[in-house]
Amino acid sequence: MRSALTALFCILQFGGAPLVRAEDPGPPADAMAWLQKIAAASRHVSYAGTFIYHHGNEVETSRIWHIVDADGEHERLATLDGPLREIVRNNENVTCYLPERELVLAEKRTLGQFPALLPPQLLSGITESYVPVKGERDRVAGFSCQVVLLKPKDNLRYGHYFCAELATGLPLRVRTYDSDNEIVESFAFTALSIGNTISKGMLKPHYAAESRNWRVDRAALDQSDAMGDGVLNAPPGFKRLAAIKRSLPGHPAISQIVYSDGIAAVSIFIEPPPASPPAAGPAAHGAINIYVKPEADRMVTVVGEAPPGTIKLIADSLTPEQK
Amino acid sequence: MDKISALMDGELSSQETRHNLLRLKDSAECRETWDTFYLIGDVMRGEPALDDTFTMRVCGRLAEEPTIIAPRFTHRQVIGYTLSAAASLAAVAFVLTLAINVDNPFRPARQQPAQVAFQPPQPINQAKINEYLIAHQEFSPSTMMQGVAPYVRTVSDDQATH
Repeated sequence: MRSALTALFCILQFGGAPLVRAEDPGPPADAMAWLQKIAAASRHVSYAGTFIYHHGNEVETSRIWHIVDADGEHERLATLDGPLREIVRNNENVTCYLPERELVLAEKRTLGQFPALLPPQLLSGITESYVPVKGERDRVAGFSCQVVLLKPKDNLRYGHYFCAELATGLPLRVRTYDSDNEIVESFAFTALSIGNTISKGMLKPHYAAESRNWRVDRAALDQSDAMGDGVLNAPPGFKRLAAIKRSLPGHPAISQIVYSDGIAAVSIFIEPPPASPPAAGPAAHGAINIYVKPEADRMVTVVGEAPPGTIKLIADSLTPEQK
Repeated sequence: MDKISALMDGELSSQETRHNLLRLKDSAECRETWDTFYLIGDVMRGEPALDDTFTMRVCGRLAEEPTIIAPRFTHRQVIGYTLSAAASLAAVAFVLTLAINVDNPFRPARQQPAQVAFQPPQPINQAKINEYLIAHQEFSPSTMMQGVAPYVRTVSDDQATH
């Protein structure tokens, strides 16, 4: 009993603060190799499992299926709590089914056009803003995993924690920490099977038939890299990743500029002012912070996995001519 | 594991009860399951604040006085706390994840540091932000690291805004 209690005590006392207590940090090169392995795993490994998404006071459980075959990547995510909502991805096509609104959100991703998001450029420059640390080994959903931390060098960004399955590198637990070492968001598998054992039938959307009567909102990319260089005075470490003109459902002409520090990204959406502008100010969803800034001749919405202060800093650094 | 749930609910015969108490005594895994089931009860009852050392103190006392455990099992009130869901592996995993993942969820939430430069973030009107979220996540390297999982943000909490 005593050893079990000691273990429990250790978990309660130290479990929440690995960013400052990672033991035996390996050489950064090793941690970087792990990060690259994690990035590759999410694209190349077939798996099916149940994961918990925890943010603020909310805990939600979802099922996920991910198949990689000759046709590419196929993925389905279905929520297990509340009304069944689901996301289906076939390569670049992402479709969200929202039954309460009888709405389908469809988007065609355009990653191929942005090499910065593909290996090996992905994660490049990350050491400018973070210290990668190889942590200890742990166990998640019955699999042994290697902890890898990205410790932020300043308060402009969150800390990131990954526990990657030893053989495949699949991230089994992912956490985001704020500067107080509090978890702002976490994903963790509770059950998982790795390997190509999944029937393709599991990828069929539950709402495939029903949603034929639903509204379909499509996002489209109109013009890639149409923004010029921009004049945003971005916070240190954040580099411009993309600048595009696109249409989003309900936002017919919108510009999106994306800055990233190698792991976190911040999108700046600029659009004509809507008829009834929303209230200005911050909002949050897990590790995603948002700042809405309606102006006389445009509306700015900044969205990203960065602390609220960074999001506001970026919103306020936008110059009037940047439209 | 199912036996432990039944043990808690007082549904075992006296012989089975004795047998499973021995299992509990000998197996750290069983004891963890036991602890976990009680955590589940706490979570389901929405009891927010258990002192860090509470479980340890109680477990320590129970360890020293094992005979005291038995009457508690037959106390029918426990049934309402543990619920049938406690028997499911998923529920165990759920609370284990909570207990391990989250910086002690049973401690009262730490006060947020004062935000001097900006007002505290408000909950999002999810319906209005979905489109931005999807468009943003396409470009986020962290999405590359986690596949479609971060898209759960797009579909989570939707009901909270209606």
